[in-house]
Amino acid sequence: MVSVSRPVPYDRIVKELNGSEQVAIVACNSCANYCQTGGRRAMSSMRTSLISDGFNVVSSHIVTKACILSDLRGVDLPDGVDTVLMMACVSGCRAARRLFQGKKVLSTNVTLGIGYYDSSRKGSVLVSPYPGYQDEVGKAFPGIREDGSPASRCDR
Amino acid sequence: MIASLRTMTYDELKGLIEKGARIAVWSCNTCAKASHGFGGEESMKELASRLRSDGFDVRKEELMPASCYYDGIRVRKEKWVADGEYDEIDVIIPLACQEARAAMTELFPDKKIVDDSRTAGLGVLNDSGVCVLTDPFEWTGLDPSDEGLDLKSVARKLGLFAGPF
Repeated sequence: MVSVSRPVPYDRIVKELNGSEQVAIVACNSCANYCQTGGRRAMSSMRTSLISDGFNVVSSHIVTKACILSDLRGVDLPDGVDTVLMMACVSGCRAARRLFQGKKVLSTNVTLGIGYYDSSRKGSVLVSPYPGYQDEVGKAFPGIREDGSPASRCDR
Repeated sequence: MIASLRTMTYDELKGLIEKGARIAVWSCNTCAKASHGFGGEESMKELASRLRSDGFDVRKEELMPASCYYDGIRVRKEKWVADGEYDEIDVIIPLACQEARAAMTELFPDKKIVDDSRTAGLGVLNDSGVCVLTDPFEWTGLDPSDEGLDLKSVARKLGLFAGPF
């Protein structure tokens, strides 16, 4: 399983939030981790950015695979959470909407399609795109910049 | 979770392989297994056994935790080479998604890799351990939903098959 994703720009994410709501971050540690749109490091970066911008992040959670209901069910959200910020692909967000009913579920990622992970290309290579992303086929996400250094979430 | 469907029957598969060809059955043990058992150890062993009893020369059975990791496929290939087995395989039957097959086609350019699966889209693994299709690709003509679609009914609508050979 390798869904291929890239991050929604941070400014667009925070436009969907307000300072009073309690926010939980849930990050997938599989496909999204390979694209650096999930996993511990991206989650920690998102948490730090949101807190420094005055948002009320009350918890953060890592799950092995957000698209597996039994994995996601292990997330113990604190009472009072209003919004769940999903750092996962569209399947993880679907699972979250099923399990966290009554809460606002926001995705931090755009799912481009499906591919395979290639460490030599520093990311996941898109093979089968969703509509609108045909031009991205064959590219790796996050991939390598033109100067040879690894791209990362922070560059976007 | 990738929702994989099978494109052919067992008889059609047999018709694609020459008698005498040396075969490897290669299976993913994650999404393909969750796709009603299209892949996974049990399906791999069952297919290898059926082919052998029908007179085919199945030389290898390869089970990978996930076949969408290019490096993992490359490591298996290198092991085949190191063990002197690489040149003893003509045909690979992948029980894996088509994206894994794309990676395998790059890494095994001189092998015939049977085109036996289509990825219907992304899905969610439900509590009974089966993948439901939540975000179908455009070619399926199906709508996305949080609840998802059962792969057997999807396969019927698309003229494909769900589950093992």
